[in-house]
Amino acid sequence: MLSFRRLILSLNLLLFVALPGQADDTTSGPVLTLSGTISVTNSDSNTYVFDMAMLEALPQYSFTTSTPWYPEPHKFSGPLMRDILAKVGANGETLTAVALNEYKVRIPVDNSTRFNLIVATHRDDKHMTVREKGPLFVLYPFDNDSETQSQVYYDRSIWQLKAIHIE
Amino acid sequence: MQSNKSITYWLILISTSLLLVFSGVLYLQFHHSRLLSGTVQYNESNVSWNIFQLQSEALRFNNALYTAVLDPSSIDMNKLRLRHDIFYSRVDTVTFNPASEQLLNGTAYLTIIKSTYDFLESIDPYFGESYRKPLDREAMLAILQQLVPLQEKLNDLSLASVHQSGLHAENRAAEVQRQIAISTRLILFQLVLTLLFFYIVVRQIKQLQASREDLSKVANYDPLTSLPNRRLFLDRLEQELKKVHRTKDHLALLFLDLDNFKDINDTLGHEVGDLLLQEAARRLRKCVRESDTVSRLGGDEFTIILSDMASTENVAGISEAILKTLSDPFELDGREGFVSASIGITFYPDDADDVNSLLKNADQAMYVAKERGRNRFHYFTASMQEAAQTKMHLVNDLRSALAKKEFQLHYQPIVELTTGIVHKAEVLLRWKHPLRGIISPLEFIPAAEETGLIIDIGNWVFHEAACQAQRWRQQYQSSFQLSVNTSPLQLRADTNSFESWRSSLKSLELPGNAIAIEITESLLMDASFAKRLVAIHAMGVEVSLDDFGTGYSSMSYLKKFDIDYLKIDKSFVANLQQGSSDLAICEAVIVMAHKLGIMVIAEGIETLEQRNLLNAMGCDFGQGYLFSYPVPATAFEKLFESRPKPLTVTDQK
Repeated sequence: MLSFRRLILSLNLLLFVALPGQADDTTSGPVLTLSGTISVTNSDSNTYVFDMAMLEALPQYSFTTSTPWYPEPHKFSGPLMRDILAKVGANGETLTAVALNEYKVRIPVDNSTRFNLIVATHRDDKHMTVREKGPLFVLYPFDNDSETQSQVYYDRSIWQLKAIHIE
Repeated sequence: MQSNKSITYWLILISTSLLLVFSGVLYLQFHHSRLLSGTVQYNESNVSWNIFQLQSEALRFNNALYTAVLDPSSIDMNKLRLRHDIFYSRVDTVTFNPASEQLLNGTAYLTIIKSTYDFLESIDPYFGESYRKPLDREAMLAILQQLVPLQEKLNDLSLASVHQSGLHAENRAAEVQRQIAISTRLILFQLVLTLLFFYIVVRQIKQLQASREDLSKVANYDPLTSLPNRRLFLDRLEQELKKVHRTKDHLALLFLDLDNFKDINDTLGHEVGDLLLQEAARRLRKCVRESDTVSRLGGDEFTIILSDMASTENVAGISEAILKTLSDPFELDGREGFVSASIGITFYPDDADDVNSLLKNADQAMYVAKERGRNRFHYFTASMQEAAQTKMHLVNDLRSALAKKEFQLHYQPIVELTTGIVHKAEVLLRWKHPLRGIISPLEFIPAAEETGLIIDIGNWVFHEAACQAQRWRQQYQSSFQLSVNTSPLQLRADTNSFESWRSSLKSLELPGNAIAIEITESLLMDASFAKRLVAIHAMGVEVSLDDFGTGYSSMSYLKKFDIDYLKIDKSFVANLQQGSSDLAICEAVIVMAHKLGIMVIAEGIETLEQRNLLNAMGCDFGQGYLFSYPVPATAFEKLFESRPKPLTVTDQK
């Protein structure tokens, strides 16, 4: 009984703490829209729209790696790209990832299986704001796989991700 | 030693240089790879892009604000805040890139970034997370007023970054080229050093090999005479023993010591003594075959290994040759020196079967030779020594036998088979030794041939025979002929035999056909003999081919050479009976000889049956015990007197 109450208390505290954050634009509302050749949709316009909670409901994966964008290595975590693609029944060769500022980059679908490509939702266990290249950051495990330490993969690592179109 | 040390220093120096150059090249390569590493490249190439992005976000932010100012009713605070945040993140992206500051060093980069951050801080109350001021029209206009000049500055920065990127790429290329040039030079230097290193090492190895060869020469050869030394001699002897053991041959070991070498050394000095040793070594080597080993054990002691000896007899000849060549005067620095040698001889496996015993035997035998008066050789084995001594005495006696008139001639009649008349006789040499009595020609003729005494003896025989033939021609039979045995040595071109024979005949005024010389088939194999045969016939002397059928009897020889008589060997006659194969051979020989105009003499006739068979076949002459043993001249004369009765045995000797 006691432990149950404590759990409730903790959850309440968590909610309380999370509330101001929820007001922030990065954690409420749709964050990622998938379109194109997908077999599963959850909206009228033949797309699948994720909010942050849906992404966090997927199996989480994390790695620590150095990147060209930060002087120090950081821990990044979030769902694997292949899990997201599986979720929407994606069937295509190429992903076109789009950022908040309309920056676009094409990623071969096989990258999601060849590497543990993630859509990071957390950096060092914290959500990323738009200022911090959030809320979503596509990342290759650079340090674990030396093949990815090249311009091609750095370019494909798109930050402030908002949509993925599959062809 | 000195040069070795300096070479060691050189090698150390080169090795160290190589190490340094290697490190240098490695460092440069590492540096290269760092310059070319993905992150650095990416960061550098992205600076311009980042600034451009920053510039466009500033513009978008400006647009958003401006739209809001124009139409306040359409203000979407979320959208504005997103634009603000993206703008903010773009500034961070530029400043977080370590390459930005490097690339834009020397431009207004830092000031512009600072004023950008100042601007962002000043508008934070409207867009930031913590505290929000209401964003009215005046505020937005004030923000825009600040933003426009900032945009101009960002534009400048963008241009500067593009410009700097170009410069930087150029510098980078120049830097890489410079480093490649340095690396190339270092690698070339490295190559030269490596080649030098190997050159020195190879040269050192060659020197080492050469010095090792020198060392082995010093270890195995006598420096004075260049002959093998004791060490190599023992080694060779050991090997030869093994070889001879396998081939079942004999091996002779000669131990040689110069007799009065010490005197020469003492009187003429060591240098002259050394010259003598060198010359002696040269002479010794000439006396033996290439495969034999002459070594110098030290001082004036030499050893000679004679291997592959089919028999032990040749050793005496070689030893005598050695004694002879060493007894020749030595030309020593303008003076003449004389030495003699004492030789001890031992045989493997006859006397001993190991190296040490053989050496001891030969040494002992050499001392015996010295004791017996030097300038001689001595065998280790008593029986060998005895045989050698006997032969030596025989040769000595043979030398004086002529002068002492110890030779006698015996005569065996040759009978005409149809008539039984004695027409010819074979002359046979007898040596009556004062102590040993009659010695067989089988024993002394080889010795006479070896020593060359055969020439004088042969000439004496010819002369005596000529005298006897003349006597008997005058007394008994005008066509009587004596046939004389000859040694092949007598008929050699370099002897004076023919001269001597000619003068014998001339002094006696005897026609040449009073004498026939008996030669053996082996002579006919020498093609040059034809010439000498002509010379013999020119004297009128006839030629009889002895022992026909025992050698390489070849009909072609008979055709080629002008032969007068052919003597069928007694081995054919001995088995002569009706129907035998020897009878067929004899008959064939007789028929063939007659066709070639050669008369036939059958040797060794002992029975009447043999005589009759031969007579029936047409054989011209016969010789043998049936008619008479060889007898002295006086006994022979009785045969003439008893003529023409059939001959019978008259004398045993």
